[in-house]
Amino acid sequence: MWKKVLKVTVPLTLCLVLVLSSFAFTSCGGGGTTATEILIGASRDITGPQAGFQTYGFAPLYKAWIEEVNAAGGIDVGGKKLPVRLIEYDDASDTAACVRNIEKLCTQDHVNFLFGPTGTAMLFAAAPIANKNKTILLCGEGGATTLEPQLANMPYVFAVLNYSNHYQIPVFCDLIEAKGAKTVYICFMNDLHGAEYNLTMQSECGLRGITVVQAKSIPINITDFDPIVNEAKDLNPDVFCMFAYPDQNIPFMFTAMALNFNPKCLLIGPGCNFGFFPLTFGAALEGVCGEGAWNAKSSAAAAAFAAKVEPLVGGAGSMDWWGADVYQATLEYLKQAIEKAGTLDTEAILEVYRTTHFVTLLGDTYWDIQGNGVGGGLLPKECYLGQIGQWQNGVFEVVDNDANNTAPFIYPKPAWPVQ
Amino acid sequence: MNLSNINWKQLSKTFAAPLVILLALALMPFYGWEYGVSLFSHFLIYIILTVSWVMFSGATGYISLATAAFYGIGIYSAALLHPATGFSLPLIAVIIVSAAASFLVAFIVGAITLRLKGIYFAMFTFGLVLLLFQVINYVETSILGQRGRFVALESNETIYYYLLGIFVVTMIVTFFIKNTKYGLALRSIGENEDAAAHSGVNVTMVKVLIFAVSAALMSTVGVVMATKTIYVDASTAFNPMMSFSPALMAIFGGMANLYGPAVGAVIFSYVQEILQTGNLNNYYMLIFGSILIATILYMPQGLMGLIQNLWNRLKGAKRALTRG
Repeated sequence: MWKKVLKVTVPLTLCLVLVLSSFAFTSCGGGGTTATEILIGASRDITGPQAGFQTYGFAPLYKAWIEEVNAAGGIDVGGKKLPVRLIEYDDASDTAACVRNIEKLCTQDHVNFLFGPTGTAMLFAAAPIANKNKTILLCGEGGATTLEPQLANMPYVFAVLNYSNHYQIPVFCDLIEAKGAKTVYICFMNDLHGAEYNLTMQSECGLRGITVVQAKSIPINITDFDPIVNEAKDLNPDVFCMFAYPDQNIPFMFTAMALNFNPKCLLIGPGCNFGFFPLTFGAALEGVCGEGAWNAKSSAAAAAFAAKVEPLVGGAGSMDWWGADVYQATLEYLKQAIEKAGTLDTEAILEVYRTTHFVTLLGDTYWDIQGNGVGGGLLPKECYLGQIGQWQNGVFEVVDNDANNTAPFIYPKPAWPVQ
Repeated sequence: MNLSNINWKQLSKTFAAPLVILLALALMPFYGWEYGVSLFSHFLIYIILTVSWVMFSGATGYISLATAAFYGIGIYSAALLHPATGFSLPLIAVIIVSAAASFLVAFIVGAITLRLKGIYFAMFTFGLVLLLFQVINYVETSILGQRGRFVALESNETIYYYLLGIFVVTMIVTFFIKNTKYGLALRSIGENEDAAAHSGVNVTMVKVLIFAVSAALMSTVGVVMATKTIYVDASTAFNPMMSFSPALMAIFGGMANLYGPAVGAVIFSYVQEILQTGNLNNYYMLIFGSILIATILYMPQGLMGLIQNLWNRLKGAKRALTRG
C-alpha cells in the first residue's frame, strides 16, 4: 500500500516544494515597491528577433535617463527625492511571455509605471494587461491605427510614436502629390505593420487620384527581390514604397541598385531612419526617403540631444532618426508629471497626463486624449518634429511641407551612383 | 451500480492525493496571491498541452508537432466567436465549438496522414502548423485587410477556473484512455504496430480517434489563452514553439505515467519563468538549452524516471523500473 501511495505523493511533493521554493527565490529578487523608490517595469525583447531595439531603440534612452535622474538624486515626489529603479524582463518576442511579464510586473513587483515592449503586435498584447492592472504604460516602439479605437477604453496607455495614418503617410502623399506623382508601387511585409501601411497608402493615394499600380505582400523570410524589382521596373511607377523591416529593406536596396531600378521617389522603412543605413549604402542613399523624422537641425534642443545620445547608443550607426526624440520626450514628460502630481498615485498622475502641457525636447508637449478625454493618449501632430525624412548629404532631413521642414524635398531622386 | 462492490480502500488510495491537490488548486484565487493565479494558469496551460500530447504521441511513438495548429485553432475560435466588440458567444460555448472544430480537423488530417510513419508524420504535422499560419496570415492581411483581432477580456480568476476545469477533464480523459482497451491498443501500436493490427486492433481508427481527442483538448487551451493575450494574429496563434514545448516538457518529465508530463510541464515552464524574469535573462536560452541537453543525455526516462530509479535503488531493488 505504502509503495503505491509514495509513488504518487513523493513526486508531487517534490514538485510542490520546488515550485514554492522557486517562488520564494524570485519574489525576493523581484522586489516590491516601497516609498523610497520609483519602480518602472519593462517587458522587452532582450533575446528575441527584435533584440536590436535594445541597442538602438527605446531601451538605451530609458536606461540613460534613469542613470541621469538617479545621478541627480532622483525625482522630486512631494518634496522627497526618490530614485528610479528599472525591472526589465525578457519576452523574446513571445506575446504570451510578454503578457505574463506585464502581469508579474504589475501584480508581483507592483511597479509604478511600465515602459512598452518592442513592436506593435507586442504593444497590443501589453496594453490591455497594463490597463486591466491600472498601471500607466508608456509605449515606445510601435503604434498602429488598429490601436486607436482600443485606446478609448484604455486610459492608462500612452502611445508616443507616429505611424501610418498618424501622420506619416498623409504627409508623404501630400509631398508626392505636390510633385506630380501619378503612380505608386507598394511592397509590404505580410504582417500587421505592413498591412496597415499598405492600406493607409492605398487610401491616401485614392484620395489624391494617385494610381496604385501594384500592392505586393512579401513574407518575412524573403531573400530574393529580383522578381519584385523586375516587375516594378516593367510597371515603371513614379513612387516605390517598401513597408518592411531592415532585414528585407537592405537586400531590396542592393537589388534595386544592381538592376538599376530608380523610381523618382523611394520610401523605405522602418530601417531607413537608422544610422546604419548611410553606413551601409553611403552616397547611394541620397534622396531615399524613410519614415521619421527629426535631426539636429530640428531645434537647438534636438541638436543638443543628438550630440548627447550618439555615444549612448554606440555611435552614428545606431542613431534612430524616427523615434529617439519622442522616446526622450516621453521620459522628460514623465518626470515632470510625477513632480507636478507630487505623489506616485496613478490616478493623480493620470490626471496630469490628461490636462497638462510640459516643455520637453519636442517643445510644447501634451497628449491627445482619446475616448472624449477619458481614454489613453496619443501625441498630437503639432508635437512631432517631423513625419518624413530624406537622406541628403548624409543627413536625414525632415522634408515635411510645414514648419518642421529642415530641407526641400528632392524629387526626382538622383540616379544610383556608378558602381 | 452496487456500491458494496466498490473497493473504497483502493479507490481512496488512488484518488486521495489528486483530490487534495485539486482542492488546493481550486482554492488558489483565495490565497490573495494575485500573481500566483496567473503563474498557475501558465502551469495549467502547459500541463494540459503536454498531457494531451503524451496521450497520443507518448503511447504510439508518433511524434506529432501539430500542437501549435490545434492551439491556434482555439485562439482563432476565440477571436471569431468571442471578440472584444460585437456578437460574442459565452466562453464555454466557444470552448465546445473549438474542441469540435479541432476534433474534426485532426480527424481528417489524421485519417490522411496517420498512415505515414516516423519522420514523415512529424514533418507533416509541423507542416500543418506552417500551412495554417500562412493561409490565415494571407487571408487576413491580403484579402480581408485585417490587422489582428481583439478577444474579449476575461478576469484572471475566470481564466484560471476554466483552465482548471479543462485540466480535470484532460486528466480524466487520459486516465480513461490509459485504463481501457483504447490505451492498451495504443500501447500495442507503440510497441509493434503490425503485431497490433494482426491482433485485431483497428490501428488506423484508434490512432485517428485518440489524435483527434488530444487535438480537441489542445484547442480548448488556445480559446482560454486568447482571452488572456487579448490581441491575436496568425503569428501569435500558430507559434511553432507551442509545438515543441509540450514535447520537450514531456521528455523532461518522463512519459511513463500521468504525472511525468505534468511535473515536466510545471518545472520546465517555471524554470523558463525564473530564467526569463530573473537576472539571467540574457542567458536564459543558453541555460535552458543546456538543461534540455543534460536531460536527454542523462535522464532518458525523464525526471520521473530518474526519481523512480533513485527510489528503487534506495529500496535496494535489483532492477530499476524504466517504463510503466
